[in-house]
Amino acid sequence: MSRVDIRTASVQGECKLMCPENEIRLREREGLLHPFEILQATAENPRRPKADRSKMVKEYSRPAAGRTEPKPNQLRPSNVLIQTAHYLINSILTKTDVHWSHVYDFVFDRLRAVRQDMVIQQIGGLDAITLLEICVRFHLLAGYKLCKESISVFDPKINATHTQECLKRLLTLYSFEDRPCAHRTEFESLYLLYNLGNTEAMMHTLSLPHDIRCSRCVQHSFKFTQLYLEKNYVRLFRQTKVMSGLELCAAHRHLLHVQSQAIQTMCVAYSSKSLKYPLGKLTVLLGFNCDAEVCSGYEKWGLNIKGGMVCFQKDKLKPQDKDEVMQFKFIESKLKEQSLQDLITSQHQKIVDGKSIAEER
Amino acid sequence: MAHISLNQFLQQVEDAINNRDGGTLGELLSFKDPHIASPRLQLESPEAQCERWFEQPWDELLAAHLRCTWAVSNHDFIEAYGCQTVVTQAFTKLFQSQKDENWSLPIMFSVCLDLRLFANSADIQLSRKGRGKPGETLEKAADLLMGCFRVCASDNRAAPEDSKKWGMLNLVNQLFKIYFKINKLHLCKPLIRAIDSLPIREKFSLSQLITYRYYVGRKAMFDSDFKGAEEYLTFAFQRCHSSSRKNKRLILIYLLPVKMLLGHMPKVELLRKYELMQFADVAKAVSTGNLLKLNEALEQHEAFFIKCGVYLILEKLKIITYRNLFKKVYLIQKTHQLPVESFVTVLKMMEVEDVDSDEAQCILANLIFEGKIKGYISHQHQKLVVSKQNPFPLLSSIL
Repeated sequence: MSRVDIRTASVQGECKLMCPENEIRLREREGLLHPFEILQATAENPRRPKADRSKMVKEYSRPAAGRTEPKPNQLRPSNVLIQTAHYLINSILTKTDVHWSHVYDFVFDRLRAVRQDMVIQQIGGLDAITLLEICVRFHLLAGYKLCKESISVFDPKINATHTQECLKRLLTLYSFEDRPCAHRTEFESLYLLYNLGNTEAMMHTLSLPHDIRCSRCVQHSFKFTQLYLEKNYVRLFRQTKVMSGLELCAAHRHLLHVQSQAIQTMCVAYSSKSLKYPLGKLTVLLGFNCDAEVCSGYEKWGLNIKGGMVCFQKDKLKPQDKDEVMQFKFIESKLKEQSLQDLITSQHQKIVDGKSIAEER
Repeated sequence: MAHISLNQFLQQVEDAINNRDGGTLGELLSFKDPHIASPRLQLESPEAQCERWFEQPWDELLAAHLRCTWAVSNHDFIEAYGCQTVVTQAFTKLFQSQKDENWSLPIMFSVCLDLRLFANSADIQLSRKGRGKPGETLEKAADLLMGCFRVCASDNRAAPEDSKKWGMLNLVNQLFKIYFKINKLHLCKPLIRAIDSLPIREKFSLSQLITYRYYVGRKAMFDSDFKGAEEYLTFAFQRCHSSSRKNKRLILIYLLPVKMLLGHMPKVELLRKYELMQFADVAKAVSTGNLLKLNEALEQHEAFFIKCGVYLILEKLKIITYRNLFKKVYLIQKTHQLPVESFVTVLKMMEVEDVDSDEAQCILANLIFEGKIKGYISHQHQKLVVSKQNPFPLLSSIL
């Protein structure tokens, strides 16, 4: 007689380091250390680098059928996982001596391993929430920072999948958590912005508890979504000025679509053989970085720009399939207001002697 | 029936099987039937007895059904769902082996309905315990229903009266209910295609056709195919019997926003008859182009509209309201060259905060782009120049 699976008690981790002993030994022996994990002094000798135990972080490993369950000494309990996440953010993310895509690859993999440990041990509650909040912020920031890189360096689709996965899991945890979650409104807002215009996300927001739904940031993001659906590009770009850096990262990929849609709309609405529209105004209205950007982006669509004036003609515009990826000055300047670490950990927790202390806001 | 013994029950089942009496079996295996209340059938492990009476897969099917009645008597819907999956799987095996006959269809209807209802209850019980993802069990149930669906859909050889295809619409309606509940509307598309390509698609029972059109109409709304939605939902509303008040009202809740988007405002008598006066304020605001009143109406009845799932569709009425508002400006000013400033003024009257010429032009631009205004904007002259002929075409002719 088949039965619905009943969850058995899950294994509890006992590994006190960021990386289990056996993995440290194995990877050191087999020469599988990551450059970020190598003892500096031995870095000169590429054939036998030694592990720097304070820098070793457990790798992500694909779960395989037939593999045995990990033992307790291979799994890290939640306090160690939080420590690990903070190490990655404070010490790795801030590296300036390497291309940031290498930083991304390492942190992505190691955070994925953190999430894996969480799932195996069925860690939930506030610890899981803290960890996932860090993961979401990381993926959102990375998605923006690396958006212009080639696909061999950064795959936006994979990053997007993980962003969404972490976000959805986080929101589910919030819904089951009775204790107050300081950042819930922030992440409900980020979810809406990341999935701008998506009906399911909007319906989710509408069914949130009253105090969350009526919070300032959720209201703002919901309004932003409405502006997006109404195609009110003027008010939408105006609103970007009061959004946080992370919110802008979340909405970023949709902003490009708003721009191209607006240009297509204006081409029809202002269509005339003789009348002109000032380029400078268009640049400001649609959040472009400069006049030249409009030219480089849209002249290939057939947009007629001469002497600082745009001549919109509906039959001349030939929209192309792919929106070109751009970074926005106004997002850059928002992001610069805080350090990367502060952005991701939201200045709320500091590591002191291996213990995390929540700061009073 | 509520005190029926195991042997009596199994005898009835055996007789029905031998007589190919799908109708009776459908009742005997349904949780609407009084037999499920009999404590003598609520057995935790009835396998041995069932094996004595029946061969595979009937023994498995009945044992699971009896165990299910036991689970239900304990209010354990997670267990009940598990049992019902065994029933469904055993039935599917059975069903597939029956060539050129469809007398088992009533059994399929009962089994699948109960599967869906248990899945629903199981999801509720699971989420209360903080386990599993929302809608997880329903999604699994959908997979099993698709298994039955495939058996029906691939029945190409049987004569029309023996064809299993007659079971398709019932299953599709069940699947619609699940997909709407778990918000996976895109999964409806292949089912709609399958039904629409059936030669017998108009010959199903009226109640099934109404349910089908209702869901297809709602899906069309979701896809912004408002003309299609109007067609399907109107069929459902008109053909639904006037005594099914609740159903008619439900259909109307979705039909009203669609018709309003097409420019047809409902009569107040209709709204009063079906107790849907919440739509009255909305309709009046839209038709008079009163943006302020529309926002007020949406806010006032927000909870109701959200609960019915029409809040987001009603928001689309804003565009229609802008169009009606701006048409008034045109009618008042009686000129084809309308200053943008007039539109800014009228938006300010509607209490739109911080509205300026750029935003007014943006709204106008969108209306022009969507064909709701025929004309163009001159930024240099800060004017909207409209066509001399029918500058505000009828909404129903555009969408």
